[in-house]
Amino acid sequence: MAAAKNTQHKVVLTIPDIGLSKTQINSLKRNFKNEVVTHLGGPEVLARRRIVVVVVVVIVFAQQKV
Amino acid sequence: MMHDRSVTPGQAEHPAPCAHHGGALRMCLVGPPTVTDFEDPEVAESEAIRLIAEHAPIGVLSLAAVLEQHGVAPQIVDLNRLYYAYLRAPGEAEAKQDFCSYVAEELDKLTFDVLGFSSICSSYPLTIRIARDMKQRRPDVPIIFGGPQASVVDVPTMEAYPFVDFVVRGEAEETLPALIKAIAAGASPAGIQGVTYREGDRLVRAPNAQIIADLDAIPLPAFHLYPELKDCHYVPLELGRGCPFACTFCSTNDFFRRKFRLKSPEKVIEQMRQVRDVYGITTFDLIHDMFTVDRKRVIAFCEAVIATGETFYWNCSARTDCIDDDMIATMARAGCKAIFFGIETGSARLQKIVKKNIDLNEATARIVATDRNQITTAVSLITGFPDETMEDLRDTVHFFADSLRFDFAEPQLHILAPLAETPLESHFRSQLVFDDILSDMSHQGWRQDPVDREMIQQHLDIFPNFYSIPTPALDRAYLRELRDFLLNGSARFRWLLVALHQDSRDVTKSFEAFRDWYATHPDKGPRPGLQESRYYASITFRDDFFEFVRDVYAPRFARTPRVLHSIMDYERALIAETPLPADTAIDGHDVSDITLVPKLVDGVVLTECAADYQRIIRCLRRKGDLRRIPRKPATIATRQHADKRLDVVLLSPLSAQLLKLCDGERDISEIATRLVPARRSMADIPTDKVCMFGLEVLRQQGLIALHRESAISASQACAS
Ligand code: B12
Ligand SMILES: C[S@@+](CC[C@H](N)C(=O)[O-])C[C@H]1O[C@@H](n2cnc3c(N)ncnc32)[C@H](O)[C@@H]1O
Ligand code: SF4
Repeated sequence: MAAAKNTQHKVVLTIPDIGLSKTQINSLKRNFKNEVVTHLGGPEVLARRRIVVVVVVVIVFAQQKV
Repeated sequence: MMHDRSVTPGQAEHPAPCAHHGGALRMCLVGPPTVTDFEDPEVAESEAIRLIAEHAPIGVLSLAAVLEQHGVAPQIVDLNRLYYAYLRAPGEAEAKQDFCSYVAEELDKLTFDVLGFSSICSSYPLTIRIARDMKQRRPDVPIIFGGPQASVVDVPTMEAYPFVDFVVRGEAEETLPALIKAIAAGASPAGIQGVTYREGDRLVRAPNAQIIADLDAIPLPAFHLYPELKDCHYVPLELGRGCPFACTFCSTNDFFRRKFRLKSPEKVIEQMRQVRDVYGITTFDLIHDMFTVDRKRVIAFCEAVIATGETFYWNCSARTDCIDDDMIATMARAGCKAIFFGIETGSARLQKIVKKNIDLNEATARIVATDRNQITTAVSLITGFPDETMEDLRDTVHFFADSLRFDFAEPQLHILAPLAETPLESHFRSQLVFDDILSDMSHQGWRQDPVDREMIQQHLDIFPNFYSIPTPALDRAYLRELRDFLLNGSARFRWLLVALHQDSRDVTKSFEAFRDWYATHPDKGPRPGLQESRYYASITFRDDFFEFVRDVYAPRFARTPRVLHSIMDYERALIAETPLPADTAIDGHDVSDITLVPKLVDGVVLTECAADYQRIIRCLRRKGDLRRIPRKPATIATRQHADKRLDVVLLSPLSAQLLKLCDGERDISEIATRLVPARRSMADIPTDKVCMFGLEVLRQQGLIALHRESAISASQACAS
C-alpha cells in the first residue's frame, strides 16, 4: 500500500459540559489524540481483493477515478 | 528498421471498390485492441483494465479527421469497446461465439467501401484473424493495414496473408488519403510513398514516406466520431513525434523517426480547450515518446499553460537525463500529474549495452523530485536482456525496490520483447526461441488463444515479439516469476517488500527463500496458475507470503523481525475481512448519560501492533536504521465504510484502553470504574470524566455508538 498520510481529524469536538476546566480539557485532548489516516480506496482496497490486476503499460495514468 | 526494400513502380490497374456509389467514399477504421480476446472476464472488468481500454484510439481518430478533410466519410470501430459489449452480452461464456467472429459480424452490419485496421504487436494475430473473416464476407472491400506493427512486418504479413491488400507504413496522414484516392479511382498506388502493395504476384514496397513536418497542421482527432469519449476520464492528445535516442529495444524511435517534433503550445492548448468545452474533460494523456528533448520548448509549453490561468491535468513521457528539478517543478505547476520514465535497467553496465546511457544516481534524484512535486512516476524497468547477468538483474530489482519508497513512484518491470525490426530483434532474429514466457508487450491475457499460438509458431518473422531472446545467464521462468512476485507484492504489501529489501539487503533473496520454502512445504501443493501469473495475482499468494515471513523469514533470518511483524500487523489490519457496516443505530445521545452502553460501530476492527508503523515508514523512506525502531505497542482501529472506503485510526494508548473496554455489555459508569488513566497530567481529573471525555472523542470519530441497553439485555428482550 502507498504510505498512509496522517491527517488531523477534522471533526470539531463538541464536548458536553461535564464540568472540566480549560487546562483539563487540553490535557485530555492530548491523551485522547487519535491520528486518523484517511484512505480513499486505492491500493488498500486493491490489496483486499481476491485477485489484483497489475497492468504495466507504456503510458502512465495521471488521475485514476477512485 | 523500416528500411526501404525493392521499389518497383507498378502500372497495373486496381479495381475500384464496388460499394462506392458516387457519394463520399466510406472508410471504416478499426482501432488496435489492447484488451485481449482471451482474458478472464474478472480481469477484463477490473478497474485497471477498464481504464486502459478507455484510451481513445487517436491513431485512427487522427486519420479519420484527415480523411474528412479529403472528402472521405470515415467511421471508427474501437475493438476495446466492442470487446466489453461482447463480454457483457447475455449468455454463457462457453456458448458464445469467439470474439473474432463477433467482431466480424458487427463489422458486417456497417456499410463501407474500404476497411482499415490499426495494429500493435500484442493483438496482431487477432487483427489478422478479423481481417481474414472480413475478406470472406466482403471480398470486394480492400483491406488496408497500418500502425506500429504492420508497418515493420508489412512484407511477411502480405506474403502470408493474401487478404491484406495494402500496408501503409509509418505516419499515415499523407499516405492514406493518397492511397484512398488511388483506390477510389481504381488506379495503382505506384508512386505513393509509404505503401506496400501487390502487383500481380509480387509485393511492391514503395520508399518510406516523409515524416509529417508540421504537426500543427494535423486536425483535432475526430472525436465527434467517437461518442464514447463523453464517458472517459481522460483524453489522449498528441504533443509531438520522434525521439533522437537509439535504445536498442525500442521500436518507436524508428517508427516516428529520430527527428524530434513538437506541436506548438498554442495548438495543444487550443485542442485541450476544445475537448474541455465539448466533453468537460480536463485530464490529458499528452503523447510523445520523449517530450523533454528540448528544455526551452518544454518550459515554453508549461508557461503557456500556466498563463491561461485555466486548469488542465496532463501526463507525458521523458528521460531522466533530459529533465531537471526546476523543469519538474514548472511542469507540476502547469498541471503535470504523471511522468513515464524509462529507466530500463539498474545496471550501469547494461545501460551502455542497450544504449540507454542514463546515469542511475541522476535517475534516482529525478524520481525524488517528481515525488516531491506529487507527480506520479512510472519507473519502467526491463529484464531479460541477452547480456544480463544475475548481478545486473539484482541491480534492476534493487532499483525497483528502492523506488517503492517514494509514494508517487510506480515501478514497473517488463520482460524484454524482441519488437520487430528493433536493433535487438534484428541482431538476435536467428536465435529467437518460442518458450511461452511472454513479455507483457505481447500480453494476450492469462492464457493464449490456441489459434493465435499456431499463427505465431508458423511466422516468427511476423510475430517476433512473442518469442524470446535467449538469456544464457538467467533462467527465464525465474524471471517471469520474479516479475510476478515484485509487481503483485508491491500492489499487495508495498512496505513489507521495502522492509524486506532493506532487512535482507536484497529482496531477490527473500523471493528465492519463499520459493524454496513453498516447494518443500509438506502441506502446500503445486501453485495453481503459476505460469499464467494467476497464483501471484491471487490473495493466496499474499497469505502464503505472510505465513513465510512470519514462520520462517522473521524468526530465522531477519535482522529486524519486530519491524516486519509490525508491518504485517498493520497490513493485516487493512486487509481484514470486516463486515460492511449495517445501519448503525445513530444514537443522538452523548456521554453525559452514563447509563448508556458504548459499542464498537459495525465495520470497526482493532489490531495490535508491536511498533509505531508511521515511524517505521519514515525510517524506510530514508533508508534509516530499522534496529533503532523501539518496541512501542499500539492499537489501530480500521473502519470500513459502506462505499468500501477504509479509515485507519492510530489510537492513543488511553483511547485504545477505553475502546477495548467497550464490549457492548458495560455501560459508561462501569467502564469508568475499570479505566486506569496512568498519566500524571490527568491526576487531578476524576476518572469518570476522563472516561466520558475519551468516549465522546471516540463517538465523534465514528468508532463507537451509544446504545440504550447492552447487547445481552437486547437479545434477551428479543427472545422474550
Ligand atoms: C497510447 C498508447 C497505448 C494506449 C492506447 C493504445 C491505443 N488505443 O492506441 C494503451 C495504454 C492502451 C496501450 C497499451 C499497450 N501498448 Co501501447 N502505446 C501507446 C503509445 C504511447 C501512443 C499511441 C498513439 O496514440 N500514438 C499517436 C498516434 C497518432 O500514432 P499511431 O497510433 O501510431 O497512428 C499513426 C500511424 O501508426 C498510422 N496508423 C495507425 N493506425 C492506422 C490504421 C490504418 C488503417 C493506417 C493506414 C494507418 C494507421 O497513422 C497514424 C497517424 O500517423 C504508443 C507509442 C507511440 N508513441 O505511438 C505505444 C505503443 C503503440 N504501445 C505498444 C505496446 C507494446 C503496448 C502494449 C501491447 C504493451 C505494454 N505493456 O504497454 C499495451 C497493451 C496491453 C496489453 N495487451 O496487455 C507499442 C507497440 C509496439 C509494436 N511494435 O506494436 C508502442 C509503439 C510503444 C512501444 N514501442 O513500446 N498503448
Ligand atoms: C517510449 S519508451 C519510454 C519513455 C521515454 N522515451 C524514455 O525513454 O524514458 C517505452 C517504454 O516501454 C518499455 N519498452 C519499450 N520497448 C520494450 C521492449 N522491447 N521490451 C520491453 N519493454 C519495452 C521500456 O521501459 C520503455 O522505456
Ligand atoms: S526508449 Fe525512450 S529514449 Fe530510448 S529510443 Fe525509445 S523513446 Fe527514445
